[in-house]
Amino acid sequence: MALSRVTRRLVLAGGAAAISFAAVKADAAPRRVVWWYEGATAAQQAALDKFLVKPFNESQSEYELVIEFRGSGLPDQLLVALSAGSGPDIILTNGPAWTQRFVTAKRLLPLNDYAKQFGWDKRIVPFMLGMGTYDGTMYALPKTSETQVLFYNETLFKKNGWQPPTDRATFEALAGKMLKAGISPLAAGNAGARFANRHYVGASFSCYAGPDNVYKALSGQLPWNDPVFVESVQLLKDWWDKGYFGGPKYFALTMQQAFALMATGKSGMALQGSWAFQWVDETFKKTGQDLNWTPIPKLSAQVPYPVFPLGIGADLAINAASQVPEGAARAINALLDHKFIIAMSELWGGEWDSPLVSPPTPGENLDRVTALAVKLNYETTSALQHKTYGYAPWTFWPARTDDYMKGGMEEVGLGQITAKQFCDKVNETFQQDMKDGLVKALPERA
Amino acid sequence: MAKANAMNPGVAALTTAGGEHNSAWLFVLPALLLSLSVVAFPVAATVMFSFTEWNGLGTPRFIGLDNFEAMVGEARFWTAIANNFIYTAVFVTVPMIIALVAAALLMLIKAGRTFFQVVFFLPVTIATIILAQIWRGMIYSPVTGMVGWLQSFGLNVANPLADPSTALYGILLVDIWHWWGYLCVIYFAALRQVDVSLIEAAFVDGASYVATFRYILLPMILPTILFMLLMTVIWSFRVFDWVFVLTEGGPGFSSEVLGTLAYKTAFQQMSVGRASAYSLVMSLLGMLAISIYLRVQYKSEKQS
Amino acid sequence: MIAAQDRSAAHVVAYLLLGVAAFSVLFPLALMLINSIRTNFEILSNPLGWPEEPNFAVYQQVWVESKLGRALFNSCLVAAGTVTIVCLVATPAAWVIARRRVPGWLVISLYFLATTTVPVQMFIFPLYFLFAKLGLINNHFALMFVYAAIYTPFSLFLLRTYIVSIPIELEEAARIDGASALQILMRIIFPLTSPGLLTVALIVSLNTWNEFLISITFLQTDVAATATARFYQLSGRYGSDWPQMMATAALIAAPTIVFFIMLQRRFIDGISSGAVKN
Repeated sequence: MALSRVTRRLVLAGGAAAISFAAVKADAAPRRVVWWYEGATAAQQAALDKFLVKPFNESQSEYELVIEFRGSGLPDQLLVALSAGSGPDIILTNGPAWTQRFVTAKRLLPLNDYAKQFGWDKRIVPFMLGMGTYDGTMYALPKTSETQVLFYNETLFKKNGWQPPTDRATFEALAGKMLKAGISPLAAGNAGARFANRHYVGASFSCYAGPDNVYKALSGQLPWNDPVFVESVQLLKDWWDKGYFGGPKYFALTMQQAFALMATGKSGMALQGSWAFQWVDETFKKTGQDLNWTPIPKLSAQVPYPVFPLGIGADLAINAASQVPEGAARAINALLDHKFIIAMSELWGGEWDSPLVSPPTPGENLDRVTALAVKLNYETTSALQHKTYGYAPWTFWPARTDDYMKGGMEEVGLGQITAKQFCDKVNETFQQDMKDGLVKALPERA
Repeated sequence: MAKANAMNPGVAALTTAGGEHNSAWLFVLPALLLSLSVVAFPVAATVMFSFTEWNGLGTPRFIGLDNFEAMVGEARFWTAIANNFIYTAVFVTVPMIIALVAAALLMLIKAGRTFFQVVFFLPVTIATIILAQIWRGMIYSPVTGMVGWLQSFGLNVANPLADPSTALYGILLVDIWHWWGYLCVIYFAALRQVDVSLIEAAFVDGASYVATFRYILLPMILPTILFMLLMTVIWSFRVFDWVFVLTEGGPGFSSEVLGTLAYKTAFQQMSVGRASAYSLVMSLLGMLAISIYLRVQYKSEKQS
Repeated sequence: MIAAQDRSAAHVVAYLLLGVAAFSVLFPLALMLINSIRTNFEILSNPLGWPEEPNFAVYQQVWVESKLGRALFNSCLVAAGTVTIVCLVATPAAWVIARRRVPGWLVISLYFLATTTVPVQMFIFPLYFLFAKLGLINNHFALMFVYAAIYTPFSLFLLRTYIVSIPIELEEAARIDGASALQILMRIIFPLTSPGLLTVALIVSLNTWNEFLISITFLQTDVAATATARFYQLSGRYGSDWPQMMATAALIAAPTIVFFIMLQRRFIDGISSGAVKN
C-alpha cells in the first residue's frame, strides 16, 4: 500500500528530526569513564566521591567518572576482563608485577603522549615512573608509594616501660615479654586478603637477607633457594610457631581488624605498610591510644639499618580498548592535584601519596598521626637517595611468583611444607617467569 | 498408506513416500547444534588444551603430558582429589539420611505437609552465592556471626572456615543445610506414590511404623533413592560455588577441590592448559561414578 | 492398627522434629532480614539481637547505589530468553526422541544424557576465550545460548515424558488429514505439553537466575551483570558493611522466593516427576 507523497515526506522529516534529536542528546550526555577500584569502607567511598568524582564531573561536561568497588578479587576480575578485551577504562593494578602481564598482552594504552600533555614525566619521581615504563613506552603511573615499618601501640609501650626494638634480639625479647603478658606480639590477619602473607616474606627478605641479596635474586644472579632466603623464611616460621602472629586467629581476622586489636592494646606491634594509616580513624582514634612507628628491626648481621622495603602500592593504566582514553587520562591527572591529595590524606591516609617530585606540604597544625604519616613519607623518599631501600614483593616480584607466595607461605606456617621447599618452589616459579620475560629489569643500587 | 508397525507406530504412521525422516532430523538439529557448539566442541578443545601450555592470550604451545606429570607431582592436586572424595562421601550420605527421616515424618502427619515442604525447599531456590555470604558473615564469623555470639558466652567455638582441619567440613555443613530439603521433597513425592494398601496391610499385621518404613516403604522407593544418589554423586564432584565463595580453597589449600583448582588456575594464573588437565580429571571421576552406577543397576536388573 | 495414643504421640514427635528442621532452615534467612535493618555497630556488639531503630532506608539505598534494578532486569532478560530458546529447541527434539522418529534416537539420547554429567570447567575455558575473540563477552544473548545448551537435555527428557503420554492416534489422525509435521508440532504437541513447558520454564528460569560461575565469567561490567554477578561484584563495595550486603541479598533472593511460593506445586511436581517416574 503506497503512502501518499505528503505522508512519506512527513515520515521522513519526522525520522530525520528524531535521529538528529537523538544524536544531539547523545552528544550532550557525558560519556562514562569507568574505574574499577578495590574495596573501600563507606566513609572512604564517600570521601572519594566528594573530592574526586563530584569535582571532576562538575568541572566539565564531556566525561562522567564512575568508580566501581570490586573488592579484593579485583586482580582476578581484571585478568578475566582484559583477556576478553573488556574491562574498565581506568585500570588499577596491584603494582608493576601485575601491570607487566597486561603490557605483554598489549592490553594497555601507551601513555607517553598524555605524560607530555599533563607533565607527568616532570611531576612524578623518576625511579617510580620508570617502573611503569617498558622499552621506552610508558604504560602505567605509580599511584602510591608505600613502605613497610613496624607499627606499635605507644601507649602500651609507655605503660610497660618498653622500647621499640631495633634488632632481632631486642625484638624477640620484647615479643617474649608480650606473650607472657597475654598480649599478641604482632597484630596480623589475612582474611579476605590472602595476599597479605607475602608482606611478611618481603619484609623478612629485605631485612634479614638484605636488599643487596634481594636485588641480586631479582636480577637472576642469585637463586631464591639460597640459604640466606631459606633462613629468612625459617625465621618467619619460628615466629609463627612461637605464637607471634596470633595463631589460628590469623585466618579469621582481616588486616584492619588485626590493626584494631593493636589499637585496644591486645596486640603490641604490627608489621604493616604505610597504607595502615587509613585505618587509624576506625581504630586508634576510637580507642584513644597512641600510634607510632619504627623501622623494621635489623634481623641479621649482614643488613644495614634502617631498611625501608619500598613499594608502589598500585599502578594506574588506561585500557587499550577504552573508548574514552582522553577522559581516563584527565581523571588520572586529577589524582596528582595537591588539593586532592591533602583532602584525601586526612580522611584516607596512606593511600593517596602519589610519588610526586614535590609533594604537597600539609598545613601547619598537623595532628599527631598525620605528622607520623608525613615523617614516614619523608623517610621513604630519603631511602631512595640514601640507598636504604628494600623491595616489596607486590611491586618487584613477577605476578605468578607473587601469586604462589600468598598460598605457599600459609603452608609453611601450617607446617605442611618446609621453608626450603617453599623457597625451591619460589625459585622454580621465578626462573620460569624470568624465562618468559616477565621480570622487569631493575635500576642498579649503587 | 503405510501400515502401522507394532514396534514403532509413530515412525510408520508418519512416514510417507516423502523424506519424513529428513524433517525429523530438522526438528532435532537445533538442540543438537546448540549442544555441540557450546558443550561438545569446547569439551574436545579442553581435552586438547590439556596437552598444551596456554595463557589465553598468545598461541597454545604443545607440551605433551607435561601438565599431567606436573599435576601428579603436586601436593595441592592430591589434596583436592582427597577433598573431593571426602566431600562426596559426606554429601551423599548425610543429606540423604536427614531427608529420608524428614520424608518419613511427613508421611505421619496430615496437616502442614505443604508448609514444611515449601520451607525445606526454600534454600534451593536462593542463589548459592547469597546463602554462602549469609553463612560466612552471619553464622560463621567470630565478629558478626553466631559463632561470635556463642563466644561471648564463653563457649569455645571457632569459625570452622578459618582452621585448615575443619574448613572443608564448615563448607559441607552449609551445602548439606542447602541440599537436604530438595532430596526430602523428592523422597516424599516417591513415598506418596506407594500403594496405600500395602501400608494398611502392614499396620493390620501389627507392624510398627519404623518397621513399616524399613521393610515396605524404603524398598519401594529404592529406585528413586538410587537415582538421587547418582545425581548427588555427580553434582558433588562438581562442587565449586560454595568453596569458591566461602574459603576460595583456603586456609592454605586445605579446602581446595578440583573445581576451584581448575577455575583458579585458568582465570587467576592464566594457565589454561593446566586448568584443562584438572577439568579432565574432574570429568573422569564423574564418569567413573556413572559407570559404577550403571554396572550396579545392570547387575540388579539381570538378577530380577 | 496402631493404637490411637501411639499415633498421637507419634504425631507430636513428628511435628516437633519437623519444626526443629524448619527452624534450622529459616534461621539463617531470618538473620539476613533482621540484620539488614540494623547498623554495623549493632551487629558487632551483638550478632543476635533485634534492631534498635529499624533502618528500612537501607533497602532504597542499596537499590539506588548498587543499581540493582538494572541487574534484576538483566536477570529477567536472560531467564526469559533462555526459557524461550529451550522451549523452542527442546520440544521438537523431545518429540523426535519420544516417537523415535530417527534411527539414531538412542545415540542422541545417550549423548544428551552424557552432556548433563560434564562439569562446567570442561567447556568454559575454550568457550570463554572464543567468545572473547568474537567480542561476545558482556553479551546477554550469547549467555542465553550457553545456558540454553546446558539446560536443554534436562528439559528434553522432561518434555519427553509428557509427549509419551499423548495418544499417538491424535498424530495419526492429523497425518491422515494431511497435516505436515510442523503443523502437528504446533497444533498438537506444543499445546498438549503445556504443563511440561510450564514446568520447564519454572525450573530453567530458577536455575538461570541463581547461576553463578558462568555469569561471573561472561558478564563483567556493572551494566551487563545479572543479579548474582552483580552481588559478587558488590561484595567488594560492601567489604564489612553487612547491613547493606544483607539488604542486597534479600532484594535478590526475594523474587525467587515469592515466585517459588506462588508456584510451589508446579515446581515440586516437576522436579519430582523427573526423579520419581524414572
